[in-house]
Amino acid sequence: MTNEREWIEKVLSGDQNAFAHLVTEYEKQVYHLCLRMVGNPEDAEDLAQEAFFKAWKGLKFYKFESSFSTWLYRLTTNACIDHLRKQKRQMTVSLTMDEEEEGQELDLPDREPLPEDRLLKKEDQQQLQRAMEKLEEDARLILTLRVVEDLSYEQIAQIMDLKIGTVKSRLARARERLKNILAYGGNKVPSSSSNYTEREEGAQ
Amino acid sequence: MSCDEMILLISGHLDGVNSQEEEKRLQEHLAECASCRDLLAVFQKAEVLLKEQEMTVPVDFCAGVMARIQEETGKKKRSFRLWTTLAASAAAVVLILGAGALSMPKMASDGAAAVMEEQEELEETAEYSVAKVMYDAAAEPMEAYSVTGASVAAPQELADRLGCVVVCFDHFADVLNAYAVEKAEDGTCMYVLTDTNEAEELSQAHGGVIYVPAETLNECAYAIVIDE
Repeated sequence: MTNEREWIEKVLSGDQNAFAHLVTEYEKQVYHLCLRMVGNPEDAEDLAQEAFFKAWKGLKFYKFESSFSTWLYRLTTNACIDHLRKQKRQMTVSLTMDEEEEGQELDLPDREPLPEDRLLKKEDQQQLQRAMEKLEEDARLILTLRVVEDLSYEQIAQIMDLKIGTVKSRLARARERLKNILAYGGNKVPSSSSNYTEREEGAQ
Repeated sequence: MSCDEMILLISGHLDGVNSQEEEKRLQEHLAECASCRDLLAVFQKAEVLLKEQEMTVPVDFCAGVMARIQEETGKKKRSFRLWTTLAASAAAVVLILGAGALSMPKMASDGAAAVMEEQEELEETAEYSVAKVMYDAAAEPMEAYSVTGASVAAPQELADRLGCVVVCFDHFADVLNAYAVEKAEDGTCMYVLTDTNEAEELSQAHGGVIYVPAETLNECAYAIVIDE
């Protein structure tokens, strides 16, 4: 957006309508990211609103060092990750007992992985969505930023505070995890047997 | 090259970031490996499906954001006088954000140790923690300050004892996210401001702002943080 800086400067001079313009410009991306990350529309709306609210509050300290969208994505991912961690802490407390009892069984996949040509049934968005939800937060985030939000490695690196080379290996790892989840039908899967990720990241 | 190692090239291919040489290696492997061809096809299908999922932004979304901003603007006006009075006393400002600043590195200097003793006399509560700010001139600007902390029952009591201006408000999560400040492993983090005007504006925009007088920064200073 070529005149984005002007809009931001208008907001800083007290023009709230200018901020409403920025909200409408980015609400789709921000809301989508929240919805993909947390999985339910109510929480996604709250988190997306929270991200914009924080952007408004912190706008005077935005230094135009990254693009506004990158800065906004960063606020959004922080809000989502915080929310998911809080949720996980609550879950951990309430599920500790169950997990202790079932832990042994969950550690092992209950059957052989599916062959690659049967991983994804045709047009099965729900199956894919469930698999995405089973991904670890960071893996879900990086895949969403890349595939759904269509961001460049450079933007992803800025948002997630990673080196560009690490983005490449993290995306490969996230895709491998997704494949394993699909292959084992959503059951807990063994961690990766390959060691390319460490080599790749170590080389940066 | 094994199929395990191919995932990196398949992933790079999907993102269009492979070098010519990587792409050549991938194509050679795909020509002889049906399961990697299938895997690539699965990812291609999955990515189309992910992009296709239509999600509609709630109708009143923007209005909801703006209503919250209006509400906050009302609050800000009410607290303006307090902040301008307090902010005027700070020449340079350190904003410390965080919660649970309890397990921090030991202080090195004798002066710091003396203040540390005083800090340890203070009673711990879940509500407040006190952060000690150390300045290391040799370090990089953003790493020049280290923070240590313990909890106190009453922030005002500490401020009186140490003779520095200590202001504390809540809403740490807001401030952290607004400045994209990462929390350290121990839950603490900090954001250093050297411009008083900026600090004043920040104080109007946010809670969770702590003022430490500039003259105390070269040795040590205390600031109080309300836990999240």
